[in-house]
Amino acid sequence: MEKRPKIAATNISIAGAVLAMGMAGGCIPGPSREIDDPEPLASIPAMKRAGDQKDMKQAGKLVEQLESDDYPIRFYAIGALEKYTHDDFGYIPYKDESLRRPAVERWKDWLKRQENGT
Amino acid sequence: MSESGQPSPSHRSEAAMDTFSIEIDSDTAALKAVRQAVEGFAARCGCDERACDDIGLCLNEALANVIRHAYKGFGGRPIALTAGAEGDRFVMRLRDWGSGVNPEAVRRPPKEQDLLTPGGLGLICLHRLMTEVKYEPQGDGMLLTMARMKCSAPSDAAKEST
Amino acid sequence: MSELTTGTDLLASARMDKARLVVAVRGDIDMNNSPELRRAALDLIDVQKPSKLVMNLSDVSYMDSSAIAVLVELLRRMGRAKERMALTNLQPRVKGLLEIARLNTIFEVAADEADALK
Repeated sequence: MEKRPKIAATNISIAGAVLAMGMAGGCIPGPSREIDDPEPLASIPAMKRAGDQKDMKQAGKLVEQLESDDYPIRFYAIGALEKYTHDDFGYIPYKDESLRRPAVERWKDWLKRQENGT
Repeated sequence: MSESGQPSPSHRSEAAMDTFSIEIDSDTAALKAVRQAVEGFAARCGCDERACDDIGLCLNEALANVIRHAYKGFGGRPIALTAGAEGDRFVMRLRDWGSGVNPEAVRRPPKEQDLLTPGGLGLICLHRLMTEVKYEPQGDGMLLTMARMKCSAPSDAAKEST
Repeated sequence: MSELTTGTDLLASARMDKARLVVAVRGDIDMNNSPELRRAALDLIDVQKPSKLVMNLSDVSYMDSSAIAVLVELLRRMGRAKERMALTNLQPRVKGLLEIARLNTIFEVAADEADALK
């Protein structure tokens, strides 16, 4: 049976929520959350934003999230990264960790090449 | 709920402490990730295991119905999901900008053929497992609100077997 | 007993056991992959023409209504008679969904493969 990852209860406290396209008018936007937020529902919009903007400053965090224990995090991390490269380098988020590892290494190599400008 | 599908101001301030809103694409490949993310969040909001299971299943069924009926199977269309604790309930709201067909308007008393169609069984799950299911047609789509008590009553087990 | 190739990760194994087709399903089955399960199972049934289909669901922690619809279609393909198809090793969540759908009585439900193959 799947286990649900636990995080500290204090992390639940949120000042507001960012409502999505078409619901934005008149709502109170919440604080933007980071890609490495432990709450997947907070991290997912940040990952999507990074991918949409092809934000290279966030690419490192996205690559780190490929190694998350949380399937939703991995799914959206690779979804965002594919927007940078139009390639997944063979990464399949639902595969076992040992089967994901080679693709994670390819992503790390890609990141190094971007950082070195090669 | 306002016409645009936003929470009313007082509702919003109460919900703001434990609520997330995300936009997802009408992509069947995302169903599992979204379901697991919301199940995990529901658990951290204090929902017990049965509640989390019911929440995950109903969210999946509602999303599947949006993809299947509101968006006629097309991917890449927007679905706005809001989820969070409101008092002793866990509430989810799904907004789509699709066909606007209200499943409730064509709902009949459940018959055997409903159980055997994915959409039909999905609606049955929503009504059996959620304490609130409300479809509100919008001018340009649909707003679905679903809610479930965070803690399952002992009678929930009996209810499911009737 | 003869092992069969399944052509999909969703069927961890498939074998014939005295004209009975025994398959082990693996993973969460939802609208995204239930068509793949459907196709793979129907292909096996069409080729092997088993007298009974036994589906071991011990590695299935989640199913949705589209997966249930696949099970119903497989039962129909097997000729609708309850003794032609058995589901084994049901996890609680899957069992609960079958009960909500009131389909727990149209399938034979067995504790394990041995029970279904008696």
